[in-house]
Amino acid sequence: MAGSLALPQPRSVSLPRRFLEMVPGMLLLAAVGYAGKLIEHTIAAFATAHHLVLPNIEYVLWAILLGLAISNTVGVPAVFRAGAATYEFWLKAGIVLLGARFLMGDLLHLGGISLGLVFIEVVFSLVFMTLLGRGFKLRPKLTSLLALGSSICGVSAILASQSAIDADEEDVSYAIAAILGLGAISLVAFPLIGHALHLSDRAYGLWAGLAVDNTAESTAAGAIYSDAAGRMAVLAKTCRNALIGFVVLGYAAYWASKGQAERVTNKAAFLWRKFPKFVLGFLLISLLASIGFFTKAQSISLGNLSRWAFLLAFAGVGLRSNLRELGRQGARPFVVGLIGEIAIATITLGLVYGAAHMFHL
Amino acid sequence: MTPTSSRRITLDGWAVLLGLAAALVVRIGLVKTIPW
Repeated sequence: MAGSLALPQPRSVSLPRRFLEMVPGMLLLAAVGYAGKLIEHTIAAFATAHHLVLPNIEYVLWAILLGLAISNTVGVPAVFRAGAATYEFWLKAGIVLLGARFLMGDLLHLGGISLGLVFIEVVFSLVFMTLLGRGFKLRPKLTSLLALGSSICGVSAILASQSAIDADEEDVSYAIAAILGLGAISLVAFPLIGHALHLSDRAYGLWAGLAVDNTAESTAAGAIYSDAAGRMAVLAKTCRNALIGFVVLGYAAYWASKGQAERVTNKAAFLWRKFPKFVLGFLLISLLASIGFFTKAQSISLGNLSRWAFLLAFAGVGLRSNLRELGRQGARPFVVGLIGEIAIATITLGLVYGAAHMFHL
Repeated sequence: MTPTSSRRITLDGWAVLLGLAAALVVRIGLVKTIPW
């Protein structure tokens, strides 16, 4: 996810003014997301009334499709752009609130399994993408960016490493375009494969969290399958996100050793700066829920609030995707990304099958 | 590295603050239930 893509904040503009400028776009996110929810309900009600068996397509997919339709036809008017860019904020707030639906025992159990698989996934992705980039003769730093984006957390990993490895703007935009394009494909491909293989909610969610790169797309790919799969995807993806600082630090040290980036002097400060703080919020809310700070009804309410926040985030996923823009970025990084993603998805699917068998997911 | 020290709250920071504030509002009963 892209920290710097959201909430552009020129210093000269006051906080209330900035907030007011975001209101139209936030209302657009809410309208698109809620329209998605209405479509899901309308279809379900129609099917019930007419005794039809229709596939249940979650509001998530409708919200993304509506957003895509707007951004790729009339475009997002300037007045809505600042607010539409807040989708990432709503995603993170939703993840923090989702902590209320995880008790610490579950979190340690499922998080432990996720973390173990994440280590394997990260090592495999980094090695495979690096070899693939070399095979396709991509520029070395573009290869590094693609490896980071596909192993950890998509756009935010790329942006987090941009200054650390002193990457070109052009390479960054190539890598981001490839990761976003592949994320869009995942939203359709993953649920179809999951249903075809009859994966359980937890196994599928774990797979989506391990293999889909961007946090927004990963969460959406899980939620399209089911609510429980969405929660599991968030947990696995959060484990991946938590490793961002370590991997970026490794790359920064590598490029510094080649004299092509500045050396990191204070490693602890670097790790803290790169660590996604919303993970701490998620853990804190989960801890509070586990010690009985919230009643059961309150935990459910916070879980619902998390869903409303995700609703805005999913609308933003569609609104920010301009397919023509992605197509202009060139085929080679995309092909490398696509081959890499297919390999990563296959390997992680094998891992998930093994884990589901061992731990009865 | 060009570490840019800033006292501004980051996007993550705002997300955590909003999450905690919402949790507190629900906990003290200002909002009873949030439907979906």
